[in-house]
Amino acid sequence: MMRRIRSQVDVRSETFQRYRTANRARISEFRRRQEQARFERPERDMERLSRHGKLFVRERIERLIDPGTPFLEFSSLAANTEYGGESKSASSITGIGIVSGREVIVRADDPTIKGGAWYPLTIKKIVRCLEIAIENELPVIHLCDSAGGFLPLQAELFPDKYLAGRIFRNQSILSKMGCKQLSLVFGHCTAGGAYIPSLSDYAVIVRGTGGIFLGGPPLVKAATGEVVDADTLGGADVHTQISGTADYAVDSEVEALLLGREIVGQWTRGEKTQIETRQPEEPFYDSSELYGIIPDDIKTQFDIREVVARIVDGSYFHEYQPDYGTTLVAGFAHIWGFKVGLLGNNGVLFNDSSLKAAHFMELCNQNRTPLVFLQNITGFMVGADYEARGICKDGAKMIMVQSCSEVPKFTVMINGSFGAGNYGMCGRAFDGRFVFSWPNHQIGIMGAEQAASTLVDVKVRQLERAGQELTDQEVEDIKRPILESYEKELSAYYATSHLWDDGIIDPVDTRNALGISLSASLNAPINETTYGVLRL
Amino acid sequence: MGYLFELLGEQSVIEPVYQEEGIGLRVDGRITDLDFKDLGGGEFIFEVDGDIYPVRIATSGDSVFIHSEGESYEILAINSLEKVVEEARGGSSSDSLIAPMPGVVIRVEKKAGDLVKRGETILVIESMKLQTVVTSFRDGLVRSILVEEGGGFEKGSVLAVLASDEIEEDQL
Repeated sequence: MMRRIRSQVDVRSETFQRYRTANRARISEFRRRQEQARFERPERDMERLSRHGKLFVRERIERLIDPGTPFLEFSSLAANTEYGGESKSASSITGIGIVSGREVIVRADDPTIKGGAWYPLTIKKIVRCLEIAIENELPVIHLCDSAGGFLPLQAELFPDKYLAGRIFRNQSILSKMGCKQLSLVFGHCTAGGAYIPSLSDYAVIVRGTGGIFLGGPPLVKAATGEVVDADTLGGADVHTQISGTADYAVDSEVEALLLGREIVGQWTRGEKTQIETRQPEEPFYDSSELYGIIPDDIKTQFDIREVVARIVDGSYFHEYQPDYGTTLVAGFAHIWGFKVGLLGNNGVLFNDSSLKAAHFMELCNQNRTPLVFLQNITGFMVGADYEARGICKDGAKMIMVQSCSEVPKFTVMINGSFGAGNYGMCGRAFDGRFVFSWPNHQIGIMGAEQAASTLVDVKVRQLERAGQELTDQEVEDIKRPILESYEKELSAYYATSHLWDDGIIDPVDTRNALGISLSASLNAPINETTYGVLRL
Repeated sequence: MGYLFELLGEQSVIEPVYQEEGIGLRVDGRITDLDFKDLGGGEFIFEVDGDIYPVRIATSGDSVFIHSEGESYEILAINSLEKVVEEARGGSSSDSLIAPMPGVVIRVEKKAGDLVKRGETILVIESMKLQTVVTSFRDGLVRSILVEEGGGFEKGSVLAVLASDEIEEDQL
């Protein structure tokens, strides 16, 4: 039996009401953008879809997953700040769903945006979702309908390590690991795209609209002069009767989806990794109160325990070292019944808070308890006193233990993530299984004002050496563009646009997003943790 | 240690005891013979000291609701650790509010002589881009505020002092 967090929040206070108003406005802005990304399409493209007897990509997913089960969509606002906003959700939908009782990754092209062509960020999103499949040992269902790489931007999507080739590399690795893949070919899989069904264990192709070819009819004509129509070149019957590139030909999308469900139903379910669990229970404190807890100004401090109380089962929390290194709150709780070790920030990281974090993570690794990081961090403490006490080496311990942790890690960016605090608290670079952000979140190497002042300072010192001084106007001229670009780039929308997370979520959905993520993560084993050399 | 439950506003310590003839319950030191049959669907037959009671049981969070012979009761499970911690809460032994890190005072909300409740804001400080509210750690009286708005302070500096308990009593 764990003790329940006693909330100190007064829901009738003026502050609570003010924060709630501010956060509700942020949420409706998020919902508006998400709705737009999900459903707003040019009429011309929607008409073409129905002319071809095709379903809208979201309807395909809806019919694929088990009725009444949730779909955890990743990065619904990917690419929202790029390509003039036209590549909605980066022209690709990815997420975790339940199909025939099995947890699977769904990856779907969206043919209503430039024929489903892959933009650079589409590639990044696909590669990331296959990485999720690899890390969590999940099967993948591909809903294929893409014109191939977006040719005007080929240099940004083709040649590098984590670009297009990585999709097929990841597919091959998944197969080696024994993770099943199914492709439902609704439209064309051209060029590289042809390898998606070819590298899948099962491929279903729709007669008339589905096609798989290394070179489409125009390219074939240009290359060899051969004139051939798409169906003869790589249609359903060619591939299921002659080439053996696909396994089943069907007459409609609905048939493909139903057959796909039957195929997934044949897959053997593996044993899940066992961790400590208890009967799930809703939080004692209402999740919607989170809106009244997150301040309207990023500079205002709040108690992370108030957030924990609204995410975890029964609001029960066993806090570890409550009186040591108090700017880092650590403790055990359950989410959807799964035992987790939570680390959250209550201020800047000091020597003691860093050591406490490292120590607590060691406990969790030995105890096979997954880690959840709630990031609201301005960084590690600076100043001569702290350097002398080894703030760098204590921070390094936290980073080392965190990096080497073998238990699944989950990160929620709840308010701010600045500087090395991001590293210690399992930022994107540290292979957390999933990273989610709240719409209010800001992320960057430092705050806008700090960056502007630092650059002014550098300039002042340069000029000093030449015996010159900066005028107020010149200071202003240095600061303004920095403030403006930071304003834009620190925003959660910019971050999610570039796939620095797995999506923005509404704070009230945090518990469910973590629950689905935890459940998915247990498809992979938890290895024994060993660490590098800690600078003690 | 026994489990702690609350029924009709009264707390009882309950623990199972194993007797030669089945299980008994020690309730506040007195042993009661107990037997029950689970009929499923929340229906039970209880035999307590030889008397038979058909009961229906439902649970919700920390509460157990029992319906028997037209009466209904709520039994609340009490976390013993929480109760002990709550009873021991005497507040800090020091009267000083100490700066947790170096910083600047943004706002002072109380002055010497003001009465404060536990958790009430006394002043707001800023350090490393973060504003922190410094609150009173117990009910009491502000004896002095040692910093002023806009002023800086070092880690470990005393920001404010609450009146000690003895002085409080003198004034009351």
